[in-house]
Amino acid sequence: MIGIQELLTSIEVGLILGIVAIGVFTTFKTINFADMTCDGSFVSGAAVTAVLIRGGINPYLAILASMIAGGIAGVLTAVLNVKYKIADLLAGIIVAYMLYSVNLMVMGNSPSVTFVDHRTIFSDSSLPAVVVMTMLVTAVTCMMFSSFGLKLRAVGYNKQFATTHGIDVDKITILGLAMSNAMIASGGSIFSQFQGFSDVSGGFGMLVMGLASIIVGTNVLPFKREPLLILSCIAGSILYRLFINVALHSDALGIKTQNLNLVTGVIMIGIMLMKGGVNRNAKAK
Amino acid sequence: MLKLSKICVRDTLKCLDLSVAAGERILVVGGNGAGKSTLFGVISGRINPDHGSVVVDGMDMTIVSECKRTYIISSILQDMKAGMVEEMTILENMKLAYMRTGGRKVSKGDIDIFKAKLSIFGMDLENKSHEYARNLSGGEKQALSIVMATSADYKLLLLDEVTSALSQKVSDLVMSSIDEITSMERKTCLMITHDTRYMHSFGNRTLEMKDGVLCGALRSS
Repeated sequence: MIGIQELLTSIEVGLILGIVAIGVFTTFKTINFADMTCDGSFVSGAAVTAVLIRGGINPYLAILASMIAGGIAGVLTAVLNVKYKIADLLAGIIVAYMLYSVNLMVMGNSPSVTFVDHRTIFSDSSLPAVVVMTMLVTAVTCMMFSSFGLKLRAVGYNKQFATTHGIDVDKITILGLAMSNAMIASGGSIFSQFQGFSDVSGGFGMLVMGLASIIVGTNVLPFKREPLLILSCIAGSILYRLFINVALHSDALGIKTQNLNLVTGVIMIGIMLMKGGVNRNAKAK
Repeated sequence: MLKLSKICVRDTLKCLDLSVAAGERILVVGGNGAGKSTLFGVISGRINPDHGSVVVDGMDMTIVSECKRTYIISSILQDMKAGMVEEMTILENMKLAYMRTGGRKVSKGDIDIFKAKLSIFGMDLENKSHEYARNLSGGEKQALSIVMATSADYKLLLLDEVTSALSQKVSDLVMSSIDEITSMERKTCLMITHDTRYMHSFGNRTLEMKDGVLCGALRSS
């Protein structure tokens, strides 16, 4: 049976990882770029935060610094793709692979850095974290309604149109990936502050989590307009955490804890089969 | 206005020269493989010539990127999907169209002008601003892409086989509307077509293209 406290923790974690889902949404759905940098940039955000907070830096500044670190990782992936013509998938994988070493270096060659005794945005209550996350979500939603957001969507939907209408596709792709990975890293930063430590393997499965949140959110909520789909990511992330919680408490059905990924995966497939998948191009066909 | 000097592109364009005066509206006809689309590619910047120069409005554009050229050169391609974002509404497409010349904020006056141009086509598109472009018919899509291409300021309009996928009735409507818009705005315009029906009715000059060279004027006024 799931307790109230567990339920609240699921919602809290779902909210934090919803920020990551928004980052994944920006690349995969808005600019149609299969960016695999996510698992690495999430840890970059956590690693930078852990080191700075241990160094006595303000936790809010640590979030900002982690966003810069994530943004740089995104720019690197985008540059490999648009300037050196390396396929989007491969460029992301290479950068995420390299980030493992970079993150280890940032954390002083230690696989895990704890800062439970230091001040974080969760020290007094969860309210400051909720405010920060609301600000981030509001900023991205407003951006999606702006002319930059319109250009991002145009590049994602129709690159030929974008070029013939004066949109610099390369520049927009670089900015889009920088923004997306900055969001993902901010999610990493807030999550590490929630946990009180940073782990070099902490980003494993973040991309899958982000995609699953998008699938759940966009299929469950009725929003159709792209800027509002951002809110679906948050809702999807919370629902995804609740699914995990259900999966963790399925002993009565004969399902063991080690079957977590299998059970959540089956739930995801079920939702996808109900209403269609994450790839909008495949959906369009 | 437009001056192409000794343009060579592999075996497709062979030392081609072309001068177009400001306000001229020219029809370029020719068979498949004549080099018409390559000629447009060179002017719009999609194709880099092996040799020669492209001068538009006194500015040497030969090495200027396609994206930067769109500030003064507007083009409508044969593929209707390239003229708009089908997953966006007519209003969102309109905002994108106005961004071509630098992304200034769209005013209410701009929206009115845009709707007035849409009304020229008589398809009631001006009253469907929240309709998604994917729900429009072929003729409506082409009308929208023409209005989008001519909404923000431009000096040269390139039209590549814009009626090829349309029925005769819609083609006639589209052609007369293009004629009306471009003559009203006194813009320079180059149009490629296979359709010889418009040879004597559109613009001021009709040029024939064959084997990568312009053979001469079939009509001039």
